[in-house]
Amino acid sequence: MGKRILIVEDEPNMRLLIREELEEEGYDVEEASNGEEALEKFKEAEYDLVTIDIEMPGMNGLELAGRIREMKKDAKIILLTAYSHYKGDLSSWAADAYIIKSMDFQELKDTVNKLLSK
Amino acid sequence: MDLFLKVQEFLEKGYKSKAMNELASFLANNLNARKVLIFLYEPMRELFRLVGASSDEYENHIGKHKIPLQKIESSEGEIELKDLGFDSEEKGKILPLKFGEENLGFILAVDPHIQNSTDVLEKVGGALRFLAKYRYLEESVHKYQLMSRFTTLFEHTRDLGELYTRVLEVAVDVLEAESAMIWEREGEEYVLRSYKNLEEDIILRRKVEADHTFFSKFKEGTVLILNPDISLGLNDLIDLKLKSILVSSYRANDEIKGLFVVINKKERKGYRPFKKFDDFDVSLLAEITRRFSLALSRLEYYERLKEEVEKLEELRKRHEKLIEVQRDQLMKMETVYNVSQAMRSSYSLTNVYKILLLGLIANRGFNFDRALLLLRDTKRQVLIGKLWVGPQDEKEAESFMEKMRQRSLKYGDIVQYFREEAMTFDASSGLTPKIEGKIFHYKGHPILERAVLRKRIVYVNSRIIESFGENLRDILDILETDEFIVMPLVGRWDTLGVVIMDNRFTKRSISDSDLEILKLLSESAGLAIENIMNYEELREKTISLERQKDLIDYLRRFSESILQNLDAVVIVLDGGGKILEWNKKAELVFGYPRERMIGSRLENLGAEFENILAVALKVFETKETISMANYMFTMEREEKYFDIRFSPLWNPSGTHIDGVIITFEDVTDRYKMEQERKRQEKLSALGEMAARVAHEIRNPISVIGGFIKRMKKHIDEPETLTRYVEIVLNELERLERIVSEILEFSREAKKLEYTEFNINDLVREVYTLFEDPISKKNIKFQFDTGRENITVFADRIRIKQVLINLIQNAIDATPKNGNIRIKTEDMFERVRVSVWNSGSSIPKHIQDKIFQPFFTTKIQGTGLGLSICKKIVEDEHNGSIWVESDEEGTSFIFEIPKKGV
Repeated sequence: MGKRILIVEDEPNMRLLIREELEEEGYDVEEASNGEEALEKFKEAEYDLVTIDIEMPGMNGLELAGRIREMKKDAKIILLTAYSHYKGDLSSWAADAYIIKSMDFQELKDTVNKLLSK
Repeated sequence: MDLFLKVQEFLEKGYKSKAMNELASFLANNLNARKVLIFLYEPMRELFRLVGASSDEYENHIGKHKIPLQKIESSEGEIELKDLGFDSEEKGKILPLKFGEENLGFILAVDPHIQNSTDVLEKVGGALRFLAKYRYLEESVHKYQLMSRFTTLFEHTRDLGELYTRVLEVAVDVLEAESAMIWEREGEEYVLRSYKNLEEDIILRRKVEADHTFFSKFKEGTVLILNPDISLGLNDLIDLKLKSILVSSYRANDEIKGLFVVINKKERKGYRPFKKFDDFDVSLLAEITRRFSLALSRLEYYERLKEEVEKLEELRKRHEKLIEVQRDQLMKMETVYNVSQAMRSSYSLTNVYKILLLGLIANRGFNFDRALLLLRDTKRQVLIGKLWVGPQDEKEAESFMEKMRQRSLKYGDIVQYFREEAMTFDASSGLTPKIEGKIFHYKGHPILERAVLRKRIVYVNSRIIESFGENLRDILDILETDEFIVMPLVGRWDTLGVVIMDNRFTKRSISDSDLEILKLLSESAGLAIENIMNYEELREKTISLERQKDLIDYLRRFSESILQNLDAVVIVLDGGGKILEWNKKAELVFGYPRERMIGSRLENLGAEFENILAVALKVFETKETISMANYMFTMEREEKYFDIRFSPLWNPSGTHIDGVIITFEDVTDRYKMEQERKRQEKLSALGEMAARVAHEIRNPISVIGGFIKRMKKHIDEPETLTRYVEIVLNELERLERIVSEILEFSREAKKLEYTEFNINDLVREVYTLFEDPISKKNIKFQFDTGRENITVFADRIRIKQVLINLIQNAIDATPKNGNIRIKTEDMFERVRVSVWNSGSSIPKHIQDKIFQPFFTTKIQGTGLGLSICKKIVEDEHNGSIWVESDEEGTSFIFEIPKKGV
């Protein structure tokens, strides 16, 4: 059985795209369209890694990352954003990696593979 | 004799020393020979050279006489001196000088009598070999020490020019060269970049084409050329006899930049079998150019970095400055409003003057150093000094300003501050006595005439003062500064006086935008002063009337006077629309005389008055006061804006309405100022937009790009492709919507195209656009029309845009199976449209922000939709739009005038 990844992303098409890219790498992928849903799923099942979009309505990605970290100290978290100016503050966040969304999902895939040491 | 000392003396001093002759004599003695000649071997040339002789007859041959190697190898033992090139019949015996197997030379002994000479020859060989080697090592150490100077040089040189000069110095020292130069490639040429120890007159060229013979020979690396001839091409560049040269390429940032050329080994002291550069020099130069290349790369990189940092710094400064200027302008605009507001709220002329001057010098106002008020006497055509505020001299300046600043901090409301400060501020002492009652003739005065008669704000600087010279003496003597502004106080008909401002102490400069803003103040302050003057005149009249104690007459005239002198237009209509009253102000504003208007009908005055009449008649029905804001009249091609109030005029017993009192207040200034403020707000919103747009479009672009990449991968799967195409189209639509909203928001107001249409038809038309999504969400849609036909005169396309945005929002906010209700109401002169949905309520703090640009709670969208609606309804159609929300649901409601603006 492959490793399990949870994608938290509010835009359906972006979510689908990330899902397809990661499934191709051989992962089991689950989706959540907002922070609340993500927390529910995270309570119910074990995930090896979570990717979170920072800009979401309601609970934003940074808050969600913090909550997940509280629940599971060694959870692997990747933050995604369309803004490039967050990068400087990365160290203050509870994330393992930080990726700026672009057409190229190679960086995301590489980072996921590295974190799950495939 | 000490062999070692003799050999050492020879090595250090060369042929000049007679050490080798002495050694030869010693050997002749030792071998019991008639003559001894000493030859040393020079491996580079494969020959033997005569270095010493026991007999004087060879003096001229020493250092010059050479014997090829083969000659000695072929002749064993005995040899004829003739064969060795000497003019002699003698024979000699060759005794080789060796150290181990190494050939060092030989001794030619003529008639030796002692056969076994091995011992002494070994000693001579050993001394030669050991001392030569020692010297070579010593020199090498010295060279390496010199090389270490490079490290320091490269670490500390920040200047490119210095680096070139110093590297040449070191290279010449280390390599013991006569001279050196650096040629650098610049485009299609080589340029002599730097050189050392070359006389100006031997440099033939400083620039050659890159394909010149010399440069085309060297590409990369370090080479030694022992016998350079004419074919090398170097003699085209310098006029110098070349013995040996070293050439090495150097690089900067991974590119070959040029050639390092080192010319001729220096004449050196002592015995030197080889006078040219050798392999050791080649490796030294290679090391020099390698380090030089590194230093160059580092310096170039450093220079570029410095430039980049400077550029960035410059950009940042410019940006900050712009923001600063804009903020300053906005603040001053607000100050105009505050000062005018404070002036209007006071009834004492002196206080009004003081408020104006304080507003000009206060740090929360215009922040000038001083402000001087001169009032106009029209009859005498002069300006008379009235008040002057500000510090008296340099010494007082700082404490004066600090005190004002402290006092102003106590007030939250700046208008309140101006009013109270004016009451307590003592303007009669300080600067005022210097100018009080002083007379200035403005007729023919180069500056004052322009301000007073042409109502212009005049900015005066040293250049203007120079050109007018003595004619300005009267003002300059008082002001003692060469930069100031003269601002007229422009009343309704004429200029009332001027204010002169300057920054004598702080020397702050005065900008064009300051002058623009002062224009606004110039008029609004003038009008405010005029109002109070009217009021004071009225009060004086009142006082004289009171003295007559004719109370009834006084009251009648008083109310009449108020009516006539009121700053507002007052018109009274009876129930049939006939004019009962038309005051002086109405005469002035609309240009129709009172006598003609009383008894006539309002609607005869044109379309604009038809509306007024219609509203007035409405008051008879509702029996309530109606207000209309910013109602526009076009007068002599000038647009004027009025706040209009319709109040019922009750009969004395209060039982029914005899007529309607209509008052018009001219708010053109306020209106224009509001427009200006809106424009400024939009400008700053546009700045923010650039950043938001970048973010908004990034997401769809990432998705589109991502799926197109996937399409390539799945090119053979038609089903997957179709699905992807669907998604890409979907995202493209979204992109297009974002872009068109942004364009919509940022476009300049274009001319509206007014047509007459039925608002209900338009609502139905927009509904058909949304039938699909409404039925998909199973939303119950209801449309209530107030009257079937509500005709409005407005820009149909723009109003349609409003409806589209509101209905789209309603659909987005409504849950499945929810309700949407649209209602149109005929509100007499306006039409009201409300779009209600059963979605969750909007909290109060969000309601306040909802019409601001870029505010959004939605997942998709730019947050511009509602601000576009607001722009269309309020800015373009002079209507209003607002939101009402409770547990039941949320309504967006807008009203626009039915008959256009």
